[in-house]
Amino acid sequence: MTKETSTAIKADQMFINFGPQHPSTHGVLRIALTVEGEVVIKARPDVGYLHRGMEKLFEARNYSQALVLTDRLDYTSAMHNNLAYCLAVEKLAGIEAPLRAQYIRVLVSELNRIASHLVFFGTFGVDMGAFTPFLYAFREREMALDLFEMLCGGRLLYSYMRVGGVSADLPPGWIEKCREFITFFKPRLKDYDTLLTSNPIFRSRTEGVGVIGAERAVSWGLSGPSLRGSGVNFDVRKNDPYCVYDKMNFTVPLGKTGCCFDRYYCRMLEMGQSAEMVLQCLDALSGAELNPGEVMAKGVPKMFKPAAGQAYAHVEASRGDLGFFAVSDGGLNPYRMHVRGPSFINVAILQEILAGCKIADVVAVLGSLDIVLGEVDR
Amino acid sequence: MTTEEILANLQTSFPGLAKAELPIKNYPTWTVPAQSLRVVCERLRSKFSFDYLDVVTATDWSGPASPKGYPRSPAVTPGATPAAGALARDVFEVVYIVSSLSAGLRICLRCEIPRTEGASVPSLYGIFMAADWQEREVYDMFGIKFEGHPNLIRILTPETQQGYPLRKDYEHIPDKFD
Amino acid sequence: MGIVLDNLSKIETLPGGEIALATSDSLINWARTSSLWPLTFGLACCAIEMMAAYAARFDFERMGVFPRPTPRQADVMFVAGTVAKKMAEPIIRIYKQMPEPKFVIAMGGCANCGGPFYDSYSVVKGVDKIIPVDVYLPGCPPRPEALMYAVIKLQEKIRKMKVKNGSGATPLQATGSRKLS
Repeated sequence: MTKETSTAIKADQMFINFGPQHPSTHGVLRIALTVEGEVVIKARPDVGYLHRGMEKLFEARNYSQALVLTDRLDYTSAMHNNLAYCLAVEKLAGIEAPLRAQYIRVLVSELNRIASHLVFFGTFGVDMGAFTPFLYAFREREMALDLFEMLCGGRLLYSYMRVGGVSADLPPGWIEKCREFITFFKPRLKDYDTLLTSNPIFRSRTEGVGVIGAERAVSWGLSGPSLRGSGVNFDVRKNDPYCVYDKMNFTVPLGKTGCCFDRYYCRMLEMGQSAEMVLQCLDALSGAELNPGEVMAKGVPKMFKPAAGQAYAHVEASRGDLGFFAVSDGGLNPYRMHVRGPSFINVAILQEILAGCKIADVVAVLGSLDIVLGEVDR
Repeated sequence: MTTEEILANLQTSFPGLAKAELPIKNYPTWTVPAQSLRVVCERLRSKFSFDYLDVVTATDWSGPASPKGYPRSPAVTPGATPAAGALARDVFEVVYIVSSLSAGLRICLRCEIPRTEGASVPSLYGIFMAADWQEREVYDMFGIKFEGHPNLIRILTPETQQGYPLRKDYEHIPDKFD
Repeated sequence: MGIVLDNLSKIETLPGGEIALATSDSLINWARTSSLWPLTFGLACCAIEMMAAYAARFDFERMGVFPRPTPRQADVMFVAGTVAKKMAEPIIRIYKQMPEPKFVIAMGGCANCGGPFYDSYSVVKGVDKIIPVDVYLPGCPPRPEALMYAVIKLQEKIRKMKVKNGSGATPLQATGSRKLS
């Protein structure tokens, strides 16, 4: 090249809307990107395209009706939302669920975590351009959804838990079917490793992309696998245990560098840990001391009016630390019910980490944060 | 250090800091006056390693929500029970929950401000980046201003939204979609 | 040719069997119903059931339904999920970007009438307030089989379309999206 032609071509900055309708299946999120060529200069996420005013609606429903609305927050893992809500209201009223109900709660939460991470695995593959893992993931997910349908009638949105326990006991034959599912599922994790984790295209698109340092992750309030991918050991199940998690035997996978691949791999390892926990719960529930047992606390009235007070309860949902802040004034409706949505807080970091990425990396970073817009916008 | 010791340590510098009578179950809860909020949080973070901001939210204590805040009559009218109006006070209560990941401690801070037009609280932007969007949400829903926040605009409600929805006296004005 | 002859209505085969006569309506409608390409427009929870319908167990593609990410190449739009007021303008713009003939299936309670959020300040109570809807599919969320049934109903509706009526199946469709005052 001669000296005259080696000067850089000046590219003007262009404004592109990424969303709110875009083919990656995360929902209605809009990121306003200012790009120069292929490099993102500034990214401003714009949320609110699914804002349904749930916190206002909670004040206009009684406590049982509000439970139905909580399903619709993080709709891929509805059991966690139900559980967090029930724990917050039980703290308000000073009720404790019986032991069998607590084991069932942990069991369905972990099964739902597997189902939710399978959605992540499938859609992250589709975002990167690989369509086959999506079909495999949904085949396993259909088996888990069959189990849920046998349990409570719903495939996606359950409203299975109640304040004081769960609504119905495990039907006969459910425990055997669940064991069959886990026996089928555990070797599949190696298949997924062959499909995506050891795929060189996938690794070069995700390793080293969207690195979030541990100190930045903590300052921005990230939680869940997005935080653990940066090496911060914070899991609500270990840090602030609820239900019977202190009796469960499991490890918390941690990442090293905080890149997209670390966050993805944390979720894959978590699926294996959840499968182990499901087996532990099944063993406990078929044991003599819990079988038969009560699944609902005694003395919870139908028109439930907890005493005036405030309570906060949080669980480790699939997306992060999901919390419910409940205020009661002694009436039929919650006086104030705030949802601490992990996806809402996780999305905020996009302002910082997308600067300097290429446009294709935006999809990788967004997919690896694994957000669900129902929780972001409420 | 336990939270009691941390409270005792901070109360020497900030006499307005006090333990709340009705705690948020089941976490230690302190009441903080608005003017010392930012300094207390900075001290908690730098000296006692409370580096993680869990929640920023607010409650409007001025009585049950008006049924006119809903475009259609709601399923259960708020305040339909006798006890509901008894706790009404004319304040906003801003609630913060901060935790220390290394020590495994969690503290709730409550800050009461009078429910006036210019109700404002100092922003925690810069101490915790997690305050960025959560404070915008509280502003969007309640109209509470956060002094020092660089970008305090609406975040969740549509552009056509008039009024602050989570206020108890919010009355819904029908727009072209209703 | 056997499948075509079985499915088209009003076929007359001339003696000799080499030429078949049919109405252009039946041929065009057969083509339209057999390859309805929807826009991937999942808004909320119903989107996950829509994805499950495309996946291996329910396999939408055997009905000719193949998702397209851009409205310019889509025939039908499944509005799957709650329509928030902030999202209403983009929905109308996307509907206008779809080429005629276009159809809309409102999937789920929220798209039909507001669903569980019927008294919310920020939800449009039903997507038919902003765009014309052909098939309403109730459920919260509807099962993937129910979504397939909705597509079958839409196919029955398309089979009644006639070329002489223009490209719209209903007078409402011929005018396009509703004008908001």
